Amino acid sequence: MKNAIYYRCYDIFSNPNVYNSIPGGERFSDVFRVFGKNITFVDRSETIKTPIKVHLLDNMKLPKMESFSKTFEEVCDERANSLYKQAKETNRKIVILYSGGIDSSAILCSFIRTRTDEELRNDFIVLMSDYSCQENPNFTNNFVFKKFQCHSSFRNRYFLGNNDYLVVSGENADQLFGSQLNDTFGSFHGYDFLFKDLKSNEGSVISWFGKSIGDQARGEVIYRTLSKITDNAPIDIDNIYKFFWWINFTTKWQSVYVRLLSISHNVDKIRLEQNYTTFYSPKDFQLWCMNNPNEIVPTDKFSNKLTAKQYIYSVTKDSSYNKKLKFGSLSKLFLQKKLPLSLALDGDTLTEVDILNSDYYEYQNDFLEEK
Amino acid sequence: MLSYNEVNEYFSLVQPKLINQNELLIDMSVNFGNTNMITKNGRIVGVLKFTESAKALANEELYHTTTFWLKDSPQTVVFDKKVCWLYKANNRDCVWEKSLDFESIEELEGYIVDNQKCVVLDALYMYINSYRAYERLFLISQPTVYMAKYLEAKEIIDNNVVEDSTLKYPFTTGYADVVGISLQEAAKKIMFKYETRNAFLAESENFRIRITNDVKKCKTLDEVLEVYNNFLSQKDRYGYL
Repeated sequence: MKNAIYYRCYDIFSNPNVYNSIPGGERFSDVFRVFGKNITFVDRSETIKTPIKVHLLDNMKLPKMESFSKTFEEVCDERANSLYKQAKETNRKIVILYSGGIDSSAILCSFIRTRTDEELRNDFIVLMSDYSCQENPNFTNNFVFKKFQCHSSFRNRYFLGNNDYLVVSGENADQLFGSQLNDTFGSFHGYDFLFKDLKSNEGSVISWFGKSIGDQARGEVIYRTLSKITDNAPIDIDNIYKFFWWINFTTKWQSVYVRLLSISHNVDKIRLEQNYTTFYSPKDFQLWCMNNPNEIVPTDKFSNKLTAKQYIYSVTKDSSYNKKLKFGSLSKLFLQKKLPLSLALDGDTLTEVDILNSDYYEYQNDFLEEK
Repeated sequence: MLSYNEVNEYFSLVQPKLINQNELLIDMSVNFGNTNMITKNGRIVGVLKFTESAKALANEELYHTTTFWLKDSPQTVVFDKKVCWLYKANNRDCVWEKSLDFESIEELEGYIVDNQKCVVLDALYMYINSYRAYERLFLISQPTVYMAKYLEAKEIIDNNVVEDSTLKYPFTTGYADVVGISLQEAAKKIMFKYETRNAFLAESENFRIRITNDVKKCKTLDEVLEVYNNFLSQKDRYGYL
């Protein structure tokens, strides 16, 4: 049996005809009503078991908590140097997927900080869209177009898996800094509510889960199940923001690392960490946020990802950027492609598997109905 | 020959599945203008908005026409577009008249399937049209401008031109002056915009070809509906990461 690393939730857990035949499938489908349908839910803290067996990649495992003193800036610079060295040694150009958002802007800044103009011109390609330009016009016009070779992001899927290139995406950054649910919950309850004590305001979180699912009792079940993960965290999850962040950090990490791969024209030629990686997946980034949880918690909606914005400022000197709000920057990029239902590793090779068979069902999972 | 009751009974079974079941009557009078029709054995199979969708479906059995048969003096012919395949050409009077002459259920089913192929393909082409909508309202000669800019920019990049002292490249040099950037940067930007626009259109064109082939291959009503429903759910599945 090949190790499945990704499946398309939408086609499984939004279809009762499908999920009702999976043990615990009905209750597990409530998770996606809360968190959205574009994730493959994998608990890398290994606290709870989900109805579908998903193999946790070695480089996706939750690092053991240890003291870590490097700054975000240092981690970014080191990552940029390490990626460039890897690319040079393997005779590849680095391809950066630039959405115009904070995460990918920070990636470009890391290379601008650490490489010469000639290296940027010759050894890098930036893939971007009109939306990238609109999201961050100052940076795009003054730095990206000037320093890099730029091409249309429609070509993404032909670069992914192309062995002449090392494709680097900004995925995993969101999981370092928070969760989309923080924005959704904050809009509903008021942003300040996110920083209230979790235990004494548990009722509001449970109520919000219930509202998302359409059933209060079911909402509480999902909250209690997920709380096992936060109760097991090596750091103090004291407020609502950190609750949603930690769930995102532990359960969505691998999902976002691999989800882009299914659009590739050469899925079977993708070699994880050889011709594809995400900038923010290394252990150092994770240890940084685990050791600095208060640094990732914003004081208001404008100070989200403030550390990353300050890093960008070190290059651009554009202070207006510090007030940039997050916009979804990936929509409308993929138009009507037939994508595989699931991906698995066969040795080093990614391949499609039929995940809707009992070999992939976890019969003793945390989402079974109590008898 | 099927009886009136047999036709109605069959139709009542399939009617809830029809994609255009809620459409209004359309007036096919002479004032309506050019319309694409697909006919088969003298019977209307579909009425389509786009010439491309009609042409795509036409084959040795399905005939594409853009004209109506009318008497010398124009008259109003009112169709129920949902069931336009109930109308057959009356060669004697050159009008379309309702005809429930079907030899068998299979023949009737075939017309309904072909009709739904027309409806689905038109709906999907409408989607492509709206996706391409930003291209629709050009200033006069703007497409020519874009092509001229691209050709200049390509030459500038290919020949590594850094200065244009004789205004050999009026579009790119002018653009560089207006925006306040170098000639090379201007050329790079123009190339990027051209590439993005082309890629955008290529995506929609390749999608058009794919779904046209998917619809043409369908043999049953359920297959046609599956193509359509798959399309509707795909945006939810893949459109947002």
